[in-house]
Amino acid sequence: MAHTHPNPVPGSPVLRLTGITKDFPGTRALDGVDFEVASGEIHALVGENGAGKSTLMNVIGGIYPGYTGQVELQGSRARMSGPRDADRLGLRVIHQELSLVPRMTVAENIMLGQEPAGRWRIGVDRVKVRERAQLILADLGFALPLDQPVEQLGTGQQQLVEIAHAFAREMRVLVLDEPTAALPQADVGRLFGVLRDLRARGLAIIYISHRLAELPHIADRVTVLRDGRSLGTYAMTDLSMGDVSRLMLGRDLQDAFPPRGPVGTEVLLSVRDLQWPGRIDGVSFELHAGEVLGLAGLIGAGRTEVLRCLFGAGPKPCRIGVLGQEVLVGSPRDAARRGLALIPEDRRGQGLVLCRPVAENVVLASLRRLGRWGLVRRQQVFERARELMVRFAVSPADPDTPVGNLSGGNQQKVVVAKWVATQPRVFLFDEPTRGLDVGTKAEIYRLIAELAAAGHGVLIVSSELPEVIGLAHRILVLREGRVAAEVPGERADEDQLLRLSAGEGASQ
Amino acid sequence: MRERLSGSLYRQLRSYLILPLLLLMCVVTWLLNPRFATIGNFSNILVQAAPAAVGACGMTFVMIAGGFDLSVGAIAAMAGMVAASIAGLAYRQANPWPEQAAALAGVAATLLVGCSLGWVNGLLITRIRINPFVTTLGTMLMVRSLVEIYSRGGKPITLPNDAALGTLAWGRTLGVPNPIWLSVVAVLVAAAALRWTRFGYYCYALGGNERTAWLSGIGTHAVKTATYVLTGAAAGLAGLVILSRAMQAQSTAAKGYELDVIAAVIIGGTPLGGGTGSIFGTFVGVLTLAVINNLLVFLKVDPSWQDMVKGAIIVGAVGIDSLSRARRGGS
Repeated sequence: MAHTHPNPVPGSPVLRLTGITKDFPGTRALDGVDFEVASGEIHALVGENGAGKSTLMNVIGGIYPGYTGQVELQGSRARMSGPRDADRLGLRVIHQELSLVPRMTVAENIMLGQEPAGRWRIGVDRVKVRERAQLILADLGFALPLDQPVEQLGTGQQQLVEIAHAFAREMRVLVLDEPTAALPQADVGRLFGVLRDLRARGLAIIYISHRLAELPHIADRVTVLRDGRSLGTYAMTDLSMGDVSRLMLGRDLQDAFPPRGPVGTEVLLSVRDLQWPGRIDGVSFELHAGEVLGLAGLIGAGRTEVLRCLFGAGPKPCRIGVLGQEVLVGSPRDAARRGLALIPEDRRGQGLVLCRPVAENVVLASLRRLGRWGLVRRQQVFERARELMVRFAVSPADPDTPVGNLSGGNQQKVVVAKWVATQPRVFLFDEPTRGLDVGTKAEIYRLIAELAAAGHGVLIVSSELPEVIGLAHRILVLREGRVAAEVPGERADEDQLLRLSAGEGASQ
Repeated sequence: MRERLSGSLYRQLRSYLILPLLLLMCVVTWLLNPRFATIGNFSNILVQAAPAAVGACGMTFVMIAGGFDLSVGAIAAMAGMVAASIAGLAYRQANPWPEQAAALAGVAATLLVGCSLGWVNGLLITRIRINPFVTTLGTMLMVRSLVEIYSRGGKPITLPNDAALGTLAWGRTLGVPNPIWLSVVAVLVAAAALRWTRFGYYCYALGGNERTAWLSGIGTHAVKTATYVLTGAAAGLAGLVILSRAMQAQSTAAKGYELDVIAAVIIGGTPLGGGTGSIFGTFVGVLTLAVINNLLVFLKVDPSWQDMVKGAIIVGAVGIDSLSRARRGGS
């Protein structure tokens, strides 16, 4: 039955890692890291991208067996040589990409791998699957539709299914990797409630996150990683957010948002009555040269859809004004030709060809400019790529590295560079800093400000309100596919935007 | 510069793991039977391999772009049948055409047939969005049946022994058999197209991540369709070589040809999902299969074992590659 390990002594270390070192060809991802998590504790693990958080998590999950150092579970030594070890020992890792079976129901997913056998030990007893799943949900206090396929649930509910699945077996340690990255604000509060509840039951929880601001609300202790080393473990109450980011970066965080540049008079993009049945219902706006226009709103308000539509990736062609000229955009190809560039939300899945070298990715959208008659000179491709990589400080500087090996921030720079090479006038940024760490975010902000300062128009969609407020000249608040309000960026604040997004006090 | 070269060289060599195996097989056979290593025999191997080499060049584009084409054997048979009936017009009683012109018309018709059938494949895959495997399985069956119908229940069309089309398979240019020239030209043209054209770059991007390619402003439908047209044309050309060798078009010609071609591409290091691969690798794959056939004859192995060895090589080559990738800790 669902239970945590019997009789955990409150406050005693459950999992202790000593001197964990993990090498990859050419780099040392972890260098003698000590880390422990106690029962009844939520222990935050923070660090920049590449600091070693995921590596540490994968050592705990048994995914990287080739480590040195010692893993102790409740005082006895353990060797993590495969995911099965982690499984057997009750270490449950919930990855950022959830691992549910989309077509199966909530109950089936919760009991996956634990199905009670049917009569004569053949097949699965569906009635029992449902009953046990129900017991687990009742025990956890989750209200989830048992018989609904999980693909029909939102991300927040899917996450709860995954937690229930972890809970269906013996669980001593729960590791959550960026659980709030893709979560609507309303669900974050609920997740925190669930985690606090699990903590009260004596579970040891490791919480990995980029969002430093949420740590004081949820974590008891925090361990900071930088360049594969641990910079120590602190009680959350002893540190300010400034301290944490200083530790992570090894320097003071500069003012994250560069000053806004002047807005020109030239209208780059004029959108009138944009439609996407069921998603967008008549959005209109103008974008000027040098302007950063933010799109705020709740999930489902139609922010991403506006960008998709403009870029010809909507359900049908859309008519927009580009540089004063009315054009019909029916495909990304049309949009790119008209001087638009989309930096998509899912950069690995939609922005990059991961298995191909950086050079090829960086010239992909602008190959037409690199030769005549469809011919391409490799030398020229590499020169162009090198030029762009230097300009955007992409590291490593080797154009031949597969782009999938780059860190998230560098991958994002490659996507931006790819579009800058096409010399567009309008940039459409969808969640430009998703999954990036504080230092890299600041770099991307600078980049966006520079593009605007150079006379481009920038349209930016982000779930992180401070980002929209800090960058945008004007903010359009979308609600149910319509523009609910327009707020000047300098005078906007989070509360106001949230209220407008939710539809309260929309007076403008 | 040097770093880049050595890096890419390493990556290239890795995909030609099969090369040492090929050399080893040659050396062993040579030790057991010195007659294996004669110019005559090598030339024989290359001549035998020509249809597969030509077809595999096209298939490499399709597979790098993430596609698949089962219909090449059927297209080759169809092309052979059409070419034979057109070229055969010259040998009728009331001869309306000069022989050479009829042969040329046959060649042109072949390419036209190959291109159009490939185009149909491409349209079905891009516009109607049927999975390439399913699409080409369907068109393979339909085209095979069409060949059968066209030949009135499988009656072969025979060309006279001295027909002009025979030069393609039996003639020599500068002392080298024509089929070898043909495959060398096909390999060089394909390699250049893959490396030095925008189309080649787009094929890699398409196989690597179709969504990204589309969102980068690439006309993905057109590129994909083009790969099938190219493969159709290559298959047509291969069908012509097969016809020219037999001097007879049969409805059963090129049976199993699609599997040989796909096997060669896979052995040559192009994975099923696409995104990577090279013409040189494919050529090594073609040679490997041809050498296996040849050396089994030299070693007097029961022909029943032929497919066993081929199968083992496919599984072995891909298996070793996959294992070495896993060991390096990649995803």
